[in-house]
Amino acid sequence: MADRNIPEINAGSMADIAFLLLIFWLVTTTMDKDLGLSFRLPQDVHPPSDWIPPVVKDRNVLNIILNSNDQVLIEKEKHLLSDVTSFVQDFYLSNDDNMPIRMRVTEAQIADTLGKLAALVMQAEQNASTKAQWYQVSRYNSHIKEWEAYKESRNLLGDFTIMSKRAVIRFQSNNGTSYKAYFSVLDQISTVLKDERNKLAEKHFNMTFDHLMKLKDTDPTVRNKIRAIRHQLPLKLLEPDPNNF
Amino acid sequence: MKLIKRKALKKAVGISTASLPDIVFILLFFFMAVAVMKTSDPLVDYEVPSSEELYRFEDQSLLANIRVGKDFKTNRTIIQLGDAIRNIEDIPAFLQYAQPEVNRTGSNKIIAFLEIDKEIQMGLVNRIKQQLVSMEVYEIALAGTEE
Repeated sequence: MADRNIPEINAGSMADIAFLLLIFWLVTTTMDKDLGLSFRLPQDVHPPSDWIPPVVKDRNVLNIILNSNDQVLIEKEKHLLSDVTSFVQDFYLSNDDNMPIRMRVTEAQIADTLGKLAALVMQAEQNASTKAQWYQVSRYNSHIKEWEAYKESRNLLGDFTIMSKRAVIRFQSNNGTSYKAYFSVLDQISTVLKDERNKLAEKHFNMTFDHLMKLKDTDPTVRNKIRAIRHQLPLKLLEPDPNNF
Repeated sequence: MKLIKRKALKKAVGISTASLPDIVFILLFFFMAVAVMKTSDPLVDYEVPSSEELYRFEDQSLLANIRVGKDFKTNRTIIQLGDAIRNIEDIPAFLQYAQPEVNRTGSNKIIAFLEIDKEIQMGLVNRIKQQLVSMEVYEIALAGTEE
């Protein structure tokens, strides 16, 4: 009785069960990665009809036009599709006369600008009567918010350079443009920006911008760093709707 | 002679397969970790443009898939929203349907994941964008493949 052996359970079919599970997973899942370019569409803003938008200097705008034959016009000259990269690089980095106006953000500059804006708001609020004037006040207030944020960025980066608020890449496509060409332009713009942001983040925070973005959800201090990098290298893209011409 | 006879009588030693389930389970767990659930099968024929620098969207539950391409048979341009072929006017309803799914994960930012064929003209893409803006979906992703 005592030396009776416990019978062994046959585990041979265990493998079959595991294989079945494995095959089930292979069939129902996919290894495809969702890869793509990330963008933000502009919000529909409706400024009051009597509001006159400020005049934007020519040098602050990089004009890229794609026609329905996928031909590219950059700054009124015919170019190859692949030339966009170098123009965008110049737009962000070059100090030439025909490139966007740049400004150094120093402690004195921040104090000076905030003072001026506060005075402007005071004055504008006193005289505001029309919708357009109130709209202008709200714009001044948003500028103030932005300069307040520059203060924090300055603590992280030291004195840094910003582009003119009105600097913009104006990318005009046409309803007949192929998606391939359109994608290529956006891809070049975002690649340049990504590379430059990575370099800048590497310089200041010893890690790439991509890495910062990955840490965003776990580390709250990273958000200020991301914002600081974005202050210096903002994505300034304007895509006029081809149907509104 | 005696020696050879004795050897032939011996039964062949069986290889133990006891560890086979373990190996298969390891494989299974590997796939469970690496793979993600299929959201929908493509019902349109499309080929996204290629690029070198692409962002990887980790959280599939945030994505609302919109595919634009050709019908497999008729070569007509068609739009797939989620699991079905629909019209461009159905995009708002589709996004509304996709929204609660997203809210459960804690974030309410839905990303329109646009998988658009290379040869599609921008007119259609612009109309899709207008629909997205009308539903206040501003985050978009333009799908691409790595070269």
